[in-house]
Amino acid sequence: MIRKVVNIIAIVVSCLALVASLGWLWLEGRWSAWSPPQGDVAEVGYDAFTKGAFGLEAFPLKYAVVAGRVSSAAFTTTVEDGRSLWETYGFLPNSKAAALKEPLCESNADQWLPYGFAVTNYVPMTAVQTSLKFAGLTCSSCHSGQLRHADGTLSQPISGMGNMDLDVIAFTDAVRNAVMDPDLTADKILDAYAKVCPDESTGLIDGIVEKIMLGGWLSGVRESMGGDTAKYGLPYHGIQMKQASDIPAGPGRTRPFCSIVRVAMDLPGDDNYAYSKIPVVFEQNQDLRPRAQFDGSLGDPVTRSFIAAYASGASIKALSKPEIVHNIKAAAAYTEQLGIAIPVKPFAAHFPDHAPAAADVERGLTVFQEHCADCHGHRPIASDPTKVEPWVAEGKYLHKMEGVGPLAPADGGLGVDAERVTFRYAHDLPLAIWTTLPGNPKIAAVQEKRLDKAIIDAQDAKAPALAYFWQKQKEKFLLTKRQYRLGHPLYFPACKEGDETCTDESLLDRAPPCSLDVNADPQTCEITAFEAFVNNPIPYAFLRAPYLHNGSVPTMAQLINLEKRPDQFCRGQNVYDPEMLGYTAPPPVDGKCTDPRQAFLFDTGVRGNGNGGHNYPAWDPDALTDQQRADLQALLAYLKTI
Amino acid sequence: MADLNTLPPPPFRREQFAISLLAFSLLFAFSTLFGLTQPDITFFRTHAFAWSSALLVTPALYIFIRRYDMAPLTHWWRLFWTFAWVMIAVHLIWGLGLEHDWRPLTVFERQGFWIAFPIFLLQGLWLIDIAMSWTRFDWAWPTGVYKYWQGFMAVFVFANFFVAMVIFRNDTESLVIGLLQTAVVIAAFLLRWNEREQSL
Repeated sequence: MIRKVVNIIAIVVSCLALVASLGWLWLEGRWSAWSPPQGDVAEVGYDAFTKGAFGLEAFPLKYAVVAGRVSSAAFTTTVEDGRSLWETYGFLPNSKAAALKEPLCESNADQWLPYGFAVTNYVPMTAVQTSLKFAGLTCSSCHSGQLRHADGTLSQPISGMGNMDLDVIAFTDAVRNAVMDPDLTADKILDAYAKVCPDESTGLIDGIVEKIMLGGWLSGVRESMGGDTAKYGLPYHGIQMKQASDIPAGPGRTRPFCSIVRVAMDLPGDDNYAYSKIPVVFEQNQDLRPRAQFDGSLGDPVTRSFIAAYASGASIKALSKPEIVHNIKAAAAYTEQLGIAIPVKPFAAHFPDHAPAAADVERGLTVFQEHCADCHGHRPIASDPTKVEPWVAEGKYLHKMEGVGPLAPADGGLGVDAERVTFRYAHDLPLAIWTTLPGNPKIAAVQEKRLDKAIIDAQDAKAPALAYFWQKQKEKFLLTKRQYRLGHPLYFPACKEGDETCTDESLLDRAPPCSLDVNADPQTCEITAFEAFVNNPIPYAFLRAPYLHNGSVPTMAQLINLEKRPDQFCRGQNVYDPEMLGYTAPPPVDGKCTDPRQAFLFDTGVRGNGNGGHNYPAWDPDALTDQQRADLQALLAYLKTI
Repeated sequence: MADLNTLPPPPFRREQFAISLLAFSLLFAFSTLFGLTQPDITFFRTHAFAWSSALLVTPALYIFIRRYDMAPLTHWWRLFWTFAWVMIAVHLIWGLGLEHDWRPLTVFERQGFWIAFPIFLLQGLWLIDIAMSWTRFDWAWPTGVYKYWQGFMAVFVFANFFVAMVIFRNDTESLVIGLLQTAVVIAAFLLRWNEREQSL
């Protein structure tokens, strides 16, 4: 009898286990079903850029609905000033939100989630797809902006412009604060959600899965973030999140190398002062811009997009998913054409009342060609001010590297703040990033050899700890190589579609370490680490404010020395100044920024915030002659049109 | 032992099926669902199915060594032997399908002929062996060529697992399971030797 019962129990348990496993595999297939969208780059690329999944899921959508209620302590900065949680951190508002009468729920997320958020079903890091929906960042969370007019109105979101309101590091700290809260549980989230959205129902199976996955997400992310505190420190909270003394990046800026050093090298990034404004991504076509980033450290726009997502927290696994690979490539293609085949509204279309006089523009072009075009090329003047002519990528120094720091020429050269390119580990980054993604077996074998060489080189240089570091990198690489046996789909450098001359050997010529010559022309290495900035075209210059790579100069008038560059100013939700071409950035009062909406004190005396250099024309704004002033005013007029 | 093939087929008991199925199902569920907690679910599952196959084949190898040419094989052997093959077939589906885009040639390119070939050969030969074990009347007490075939298959299957899990030992789990399997095989041989000694 006992034997019979045991047999029955065993068979029933077996059947349950098989049904659960096979059922789960079937559901996984349903949840991850995806087919590539069809259409032209303007349409498919825009969708990828603004709504595509990139492996940057922030938190479950239901949690996004109730985050302000269940985690208010974590998200509150004390400078809300009546703004929503999202607006306080600078996300662009959803244009449909104001008209929304119903409660904000999962089902109407497309009407209230901020612009640039995607709804996906990828679990962060593992990229497993389930029925649990997540709110995730897209390219446009950072690379779309709005112009704030003096009357308080906002322009439509402008794809490709950096979001200069966005306090993305503060937001990350708020999220870390929230999920590390020991009182936050899946039940608490779901209970709060049920109160806000009582009419929303989830199917039985989906409901069970959702609850399990929500609990799993919370414990996983808590463990991960809790375990990372040795590398990241504890997150800041409250007003600290808006204070430059605690989070020195502030609105519209990131610490890209701090992030990439952490994720690609697993080293702390706190001693990294490489602050970078969120760049615009117009006209990224390689004919115009063969090297991406302010420092020209990257070639292919796809690699650039991959590294941006990777540095922002997307896992290698997520970045191998076909949908995400498609989005990376489609978004990169979109930025290559954005401003060329895909129109971007020029200055006069945004500010018709401030359109410069044609005579000034013409004179300004002459000044530009004398002082700027050698490095930036130029844009011919369009007969219709609401349109632009194609950029002319011709100039004596265009696409050349300008050394700074240790590579600066005797006369000082470009002279801008060099922290962005002189940080610790900068020279180890190219190999570390390149070997993050294993190539096909033949290329992976070379990657392994180059890691071996790095170990030997470190030993020869009497740097045993560095040799140990490379040994660990190699172990990591060997594991990843086993995971991506045919190569990671975003491996770089890669052959362009249809390029039949491309071979593995030609790819390896472009892989690091492949160039030690900052003056190599063309610079073919796919990823470099020179102490230099690259001269590139500057299309849509009016959307590039604040200026210089670190956003330390609020207006174009200040950049070209028509006005003095301020030593300190307040940043946040700054009004756009169409006269001076940039942001109205008020000075602090008694060393403080008292307006809660512009609470971040930008001090150019702080390491990494320097506003010196790029002194062209090299005239003293306090001692301009009438001729010089007139020239600069004309130059400013021309710059409004490009 | 020559008269063993005159014995009737070993009796089938329901618990043999229930327990072997339970082992298979739990290992399959573990491989499938525990993968959700891992950084790379596909990679984990591919390996976990191989580990599970190694675990399932271990009792079959033990029984085989203890009884081969001494006593009739049992349904325990046939069931674990079969479930182990099913699990290795699932491993193949994951490994070849999800990790190599269903392109067997890439496995040869990546691993080289002498490593890749036995993997595919194992799948085929083992399947033939299982088919025979479920269709031949003399599966429990083989004679003639079939007896040597069964012996060869046991050695071939064990050798494959030993090389993959102990020699290549791609991860700690593989090494531990491989060593466990090896220990069980050695123990089975020692017990067989002891039994034979005592019967003399």
